[in-house]
Amino acid sequence: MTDSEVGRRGNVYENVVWQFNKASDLMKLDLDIRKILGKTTNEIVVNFPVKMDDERIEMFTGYRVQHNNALGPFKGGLRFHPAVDIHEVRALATWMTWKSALTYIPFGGAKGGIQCDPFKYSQSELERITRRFTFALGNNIGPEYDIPAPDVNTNPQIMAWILDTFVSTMPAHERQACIHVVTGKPIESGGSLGRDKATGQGVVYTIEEWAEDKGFNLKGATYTVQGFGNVGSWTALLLKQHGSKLLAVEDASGAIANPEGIDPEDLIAHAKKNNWLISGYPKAKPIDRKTLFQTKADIFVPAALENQITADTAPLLNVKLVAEGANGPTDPDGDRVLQQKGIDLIPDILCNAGGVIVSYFEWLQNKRSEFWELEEVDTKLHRKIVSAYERVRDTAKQYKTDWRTAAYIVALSHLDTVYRERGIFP
Amino acid sequence: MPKQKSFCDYVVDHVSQAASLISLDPDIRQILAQTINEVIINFPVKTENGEVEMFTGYRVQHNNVMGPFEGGVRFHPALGIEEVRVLANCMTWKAAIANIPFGGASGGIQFDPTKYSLDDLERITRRFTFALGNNIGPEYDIISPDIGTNSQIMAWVLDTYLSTMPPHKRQACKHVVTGKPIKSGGSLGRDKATGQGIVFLIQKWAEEKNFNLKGATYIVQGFGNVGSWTARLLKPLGAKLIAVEDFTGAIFNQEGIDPEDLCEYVKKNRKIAGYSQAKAVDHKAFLQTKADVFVPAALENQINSETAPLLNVKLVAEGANGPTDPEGDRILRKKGIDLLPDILCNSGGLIVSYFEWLQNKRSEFWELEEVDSKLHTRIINAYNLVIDKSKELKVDMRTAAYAAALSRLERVYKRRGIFP
Repeated sequence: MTDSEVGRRGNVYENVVWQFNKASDLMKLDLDIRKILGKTTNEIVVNFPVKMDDERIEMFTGYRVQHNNALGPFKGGLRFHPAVDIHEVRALATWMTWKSALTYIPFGGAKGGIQCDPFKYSQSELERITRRFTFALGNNIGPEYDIPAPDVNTNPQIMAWILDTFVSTMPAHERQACIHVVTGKPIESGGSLGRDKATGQGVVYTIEEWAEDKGFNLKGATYTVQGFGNVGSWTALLLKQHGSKLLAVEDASGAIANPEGIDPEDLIAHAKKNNWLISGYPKAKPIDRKTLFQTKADIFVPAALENQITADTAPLLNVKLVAEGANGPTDPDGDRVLQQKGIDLIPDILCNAGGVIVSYFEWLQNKRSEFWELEEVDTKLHRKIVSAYERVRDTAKQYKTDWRTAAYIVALSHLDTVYRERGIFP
Repeated sequence: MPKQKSFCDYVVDHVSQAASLISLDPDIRQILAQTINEVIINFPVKTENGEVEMFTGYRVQHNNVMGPFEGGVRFHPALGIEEVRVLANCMTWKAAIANIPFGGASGGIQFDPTKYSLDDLERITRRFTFALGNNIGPEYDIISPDIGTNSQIMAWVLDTYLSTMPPHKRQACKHVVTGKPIKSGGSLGRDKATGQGIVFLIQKWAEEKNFNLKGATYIVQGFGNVGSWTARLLKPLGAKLIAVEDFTGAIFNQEGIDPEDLCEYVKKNRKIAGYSQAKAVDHKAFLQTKADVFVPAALENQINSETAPLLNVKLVAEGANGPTDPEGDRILRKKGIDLLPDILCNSGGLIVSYFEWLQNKRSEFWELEEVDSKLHTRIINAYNLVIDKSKELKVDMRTAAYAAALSRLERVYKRRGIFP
C-alpha cells in the first residue's frame, strides 16, 4: 500500500465527522446528544493466535467497533482486508448507525474485521481464522446484542462458520434460539431469500424513485458502474431489466467501455471465470480511469471503495445522478463539486441501505422461526427504502439543503427523539 | 528527535531479553508479545451541573492462560492505551511469579478525579462499570484499586456490577472486584498488602545476607499507600527511617523520622513538605543519603544514569512499577547494590487480592494472622523461585524474575495447545 492510500483511508473517519457536523449545525442538534453521537460506544481489539496448515502459529488482529445502540442491537459487517484499521472500522460503524436510523430499523451501528489478506490463506486456514476471531469476540457479539454480516471479502460461507462457532459456545438448550447472531448466512443455514441481491436491489429501487420524481425514463437510459462485486454486479443486472444500458465498468483490474452497451449477465459470467475480475472481457475495450469518469451517461453508480469522487475526479463527471452503492465514495470536496455541477445524489446511507434492511428481515425470520418468500422480502424492502427516500427528499426541501445532509438530519432527528425520551443512565 | 524510551519500552525489552535467554518457544513468544483483548469505551455521564460529559475508559486483558484476568483500574488524566497495555503485561508476569491462578489485565479512565464531586465520581464509576458489562466478571476479569482509585470506588463497581446480574446470582459475584471495603467483602490486610510484601522480602534478604535490620537505616520515595505502609512496617523491626521524598519535596533526619507521626501529618496536610520533625533537603541530597535500604514507591524511571551513581545503599526494594531504567540497572549492578525487582517486590497487593477473591468465592472471612502468614509463604516462595532462576541462569534478579514467569507460562501453553 502506498502512503497516499494510507492517507486516503485515514481520512474516512474525518469525512464522517465533517458530514455529521454539517448536519448537526444545520438542524441545531442538542449539544449533549451531539457529544454522545460524536463518539463510538465500544471499541474492541482482539489479538489471537491461529495454527496454520504448516503447524506455524500466526497472530492476527481483529476489530469490532460498536458506535451506538440507542435504537436496538449493534449491527454491521465484518471485513477481511489488509488495510482494515481502527479508523476505517470506526467510520463504517458510524455510518451503520445513520443507515438504520434513516430507514427506521431497530438496529444500532457496528463494524469490524480482521487485518489480513484472505487470499493468502487456504480454505481451512480461513475457517480457523474466522472461528478463532468469533471465539475471541465472545459475548461482545450476540443475537440481541451485536449482529455481524458480510462485507468486503467475507461471504455466506464465513457467516456460516461464525454461526457455528458462536452457537457451539452456547449452552445446548439456547443454541437454536441464537441463529440470528449473524446475517447474510447461506439460505440452508438460516439465510433469507433476496439477501444476496439486497444492496443492489435497494440501489435500483432508489434510482426508480428518482426517475419517477424527475419524470425521467429509465428505458434506454445509460449508466456506468465502478466496482463489480456483489453491489455493482447486482445493480447492473437489475437495471438491465428496466432497459437501461451499461456503458462502462471499472474494478480493481481496470476499466472497460462499450458505447453499444455491455450485457451485465455476460460480464458476470466472464468475471466468474476470471477470479471475479472484469479484465480481458472481449466485448468491450479497455479504457483508463479518467475516461471512465468522463463517460457521458445518465447515472453513475460508485460501488467500490471510499473516497473515489474527489476534487480531482468530480469535475470529470458527465452524469445526471450519482447513486452511491459503496460506503463513503464521495469526500466533502467531491460533494461540493457535484452540487455546483447540479448533479443529483442519492447518498450512501440511503442508497445502499438495502443490505441492512434485508439483514433485518433475515434476523426477524430467524427470531420468529419463519421463512419468507422472495416476493415478500422484495415488497417489504421496497416499502422500507422508498419511505426512507421520501423522508430524505422532503427534508432536503424543508431545510433547503443537499441530500446527504438531509439524510443525516432524518437519521439524527430519529436518534435525538429516542435519547430525549430515554435519558442518560444511571 | 528520537522518542524517549519509556517504562513501556523497557518492559518489552526485559521480556525479550528473558525470552531469548531461556530460548522461549517462538510460537509462545508471539502469543505473549500481544495482548488478548483491548476494550475502549466512550460513555456519557450527566454531571452535577446537568451537562453531559463524555469519558474514555480502557480495559486491556493481556493473558488468561493461568486463570481469570486480574488488574487495577486507574483514574488519571494522562492515562493512555500504551500505559494500560504494559501494566496489563506486568500483572501477567507478577501472577506467574507468585504462582497465583490469575492472568494479567489493567484499565482505567482518562480523567482527573480530583476535579469532580463525590457524586459525579460515583456516576462516572458506575457508568464505566456498566459499559464494561460482561467484559469483567468474578471468574473472567477481576478489578482492583490502582492510582486514583480506592476501596470506595471498588464498592461502587461491585454494586453496579451486581445490579446488572439476575437476583439469584448476585451473592455469588462479590469477587468481581478486590480491594473492597472490609464490610463489603474486603479482606483484612489488603490495605497494607503491598507494603507488607515488600517488608517480608526485605526481611528475607536480610536473613540471607546475615544483615541485622535492627538499627538498619532506610529511605523511602513516595508516601502513598505503598511507601507509608512499608515505612510503618519496617519500624517494629527496629529499622530507622531517615529520609522521605514525595511530589512536594524531601525531608531528612539522621536521628530517625517516626513513620506513624509522619502519616498523621500527611493525613492532615496531604503532603510531607513542612513536616517539623525533619529538615527539608533537595532531591539530590535525598538520593545521596547513606542508608541500608532504599524503597522507591513513587513514579517510573526514578533510578537512571543520572541518579543511580548518587545512591549510597545496600538494597533497592522496588515498591513502584518500573522505578529503574536499564541504565540505572547497570549502574546498580556495577556498584554491587542488591535489587528486589518490581514484579516480585510489589506483588503483595496482587497476592492479597487473590486471598480476598478466595474468601468471597468460599464465603469465608479470614483473620489477619491467616492472611499475613499466607502472604508470607507465597511471597517467600516467589523470592526463592527468582533467586534459584538467577543462580541457574547466572543473571540479575530482574532478568531472572521475567525468565521465571515466562518459563511457567510456557509450560502451561505447551500442555494446553492452541484452540481450536
